[in-house]
Amino acid sequence: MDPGLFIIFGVFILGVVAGVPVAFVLGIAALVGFIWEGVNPAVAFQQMTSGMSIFSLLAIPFFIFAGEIMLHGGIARRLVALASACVGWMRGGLGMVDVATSMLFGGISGSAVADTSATGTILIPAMRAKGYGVDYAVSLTVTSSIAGILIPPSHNMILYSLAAGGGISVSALFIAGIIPGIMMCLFLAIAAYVMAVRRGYPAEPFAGFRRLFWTAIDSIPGLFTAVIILGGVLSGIFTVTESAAFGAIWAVLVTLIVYRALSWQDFRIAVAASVRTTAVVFLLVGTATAFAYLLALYRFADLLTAGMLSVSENPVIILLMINLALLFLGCVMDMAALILITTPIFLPVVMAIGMDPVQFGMVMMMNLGLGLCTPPVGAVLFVGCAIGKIPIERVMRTIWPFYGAILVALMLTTYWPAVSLTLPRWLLGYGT
Amino acid sequence: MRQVSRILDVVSAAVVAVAGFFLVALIAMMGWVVFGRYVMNDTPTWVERGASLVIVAIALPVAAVGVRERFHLSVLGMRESLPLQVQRWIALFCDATVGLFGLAMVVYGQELAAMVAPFKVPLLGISQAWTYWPMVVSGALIMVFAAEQVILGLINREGPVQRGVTAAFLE
Repeated sequence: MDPGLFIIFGVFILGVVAGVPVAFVLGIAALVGFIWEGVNPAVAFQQMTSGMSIFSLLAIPFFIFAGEIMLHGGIARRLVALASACVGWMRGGLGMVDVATSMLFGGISGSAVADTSATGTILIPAMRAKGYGVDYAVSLTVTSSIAGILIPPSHNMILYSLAAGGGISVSALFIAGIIPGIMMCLFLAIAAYVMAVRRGYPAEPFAGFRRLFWTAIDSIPGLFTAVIILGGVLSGIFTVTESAAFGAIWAVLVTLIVYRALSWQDFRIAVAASVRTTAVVFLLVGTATAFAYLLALYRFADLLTAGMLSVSENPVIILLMINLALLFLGCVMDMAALILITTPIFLPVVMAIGMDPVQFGMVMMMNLGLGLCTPPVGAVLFVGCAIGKIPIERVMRTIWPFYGAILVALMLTTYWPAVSLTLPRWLLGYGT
Repeated sequence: MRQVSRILDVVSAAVVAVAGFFLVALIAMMGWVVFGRYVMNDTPTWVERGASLVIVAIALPVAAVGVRERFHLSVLGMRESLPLQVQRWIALFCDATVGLFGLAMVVYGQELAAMVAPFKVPLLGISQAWTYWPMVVSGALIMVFAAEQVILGLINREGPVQRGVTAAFLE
């Protein structure tokens, strides 16, 4: 291997282990690499700026803003009521409500942490009051929130598309996430049901069709945000960026005028949180672009592909190795950074063994989503434990059936292309 | 030092407020693009190029605020497993490294701005130097905020520099 590669990876690992923010470590490693190769370091900053100046990236702050508005604007409470009326009558009903709400709310906000914050603050205390174990409530809330990453819209998929060189259709990625997301939630619901039966958790009384009807009516304006975003993109009326902006405008109008739940203070908090998150993402995108440019100069992806194929030419083994690597990395690093770092590295490898890049996107989302629910670096797990006021160790004792449910969904998504690719092919003519 | 920190509180709050205003303005601009395309039959084509410039001008200065508020994503598990005094010195090293990166942003951002200054941004008609000025401003802010963290870290002999919140919504 080229000594330059050792140096930039050495700087990267040293910086990450020391605790330098990942975005800066990527930039510093790229800078050192350019200096080592005798290239003007200004090229690193030129790459950084050009990486951030891509128009489709604008969808990310707009999605983030829409999600923040929903978090503060009373949409989650209505979705919990709707899910409760739909599936609350089953054994362990509140667990089922938790999973169903994650599908609905995650499908609108696109964020696992927002989902855990919004639904967890309502459902974890409610489950505790009904005699459910807090460990069960937190485990289920945390793991089901991964649906937000898979069920469209998902700003992480835009990041993946960008990291893959911009050649993968965001619309195809959005649509591809629907079946894996629903399938994963179904497996989680089965695991939750089995645990509820074993622990003797109660069912909620059926609220009646009248209540079901009115809660559905009450939720429609909030759910319509997803319709605007997806419908706009699929119909070709809007670009992804425009649909994200319209989703944000709609979210403000609904929470302000229809639900009357968004105060000026809430709006300011949402805007400030959005620009902070935008800054984190864009700096990461910029420095990761410079880093990826350097890796491309070293032809690192070719080296890795050759290295992995020398271990085994069996696609099943290679995909297993990549899954294990992503799961491990997901445990120790955050999602956005990993998408930007690992996509240019692993995508050429999986494409060399015939995997579709859209399918790999779903595999990556699920792997890294699971990483959000695992210590030592698991933002979603931390938020869930904080809401449930329960130590992580207690949650870790009982979370395994839910990890198992996600791993089953992950294996199916990895080895059965139809799970991800059927809908994009039907709806968008993808790959034909 | 407290007075300096108070001034920097105002600076960082102002950066976030201005960025927030422009983010909301960008969303409104996107609405206008669609309105122009479908209702006025006249798409304002310059918006796309302008929006790409504005988002960089929003993101980079707020990224500098993140150095102060510590909302950038970091892997702190290994550092936190070390003795407090060691943690403290490593934290100082990290802040100093980030400050140096800020310095590089200023130096090379200026170089790039000067290099492209004679050329115009298509559709906007402004100098291409505007593409790189946010990087220079952000680099300068990163240097100042990182220097503040280093000084506070040196003054605080008790333990590691306090962690801030992460941008949790990112996930």
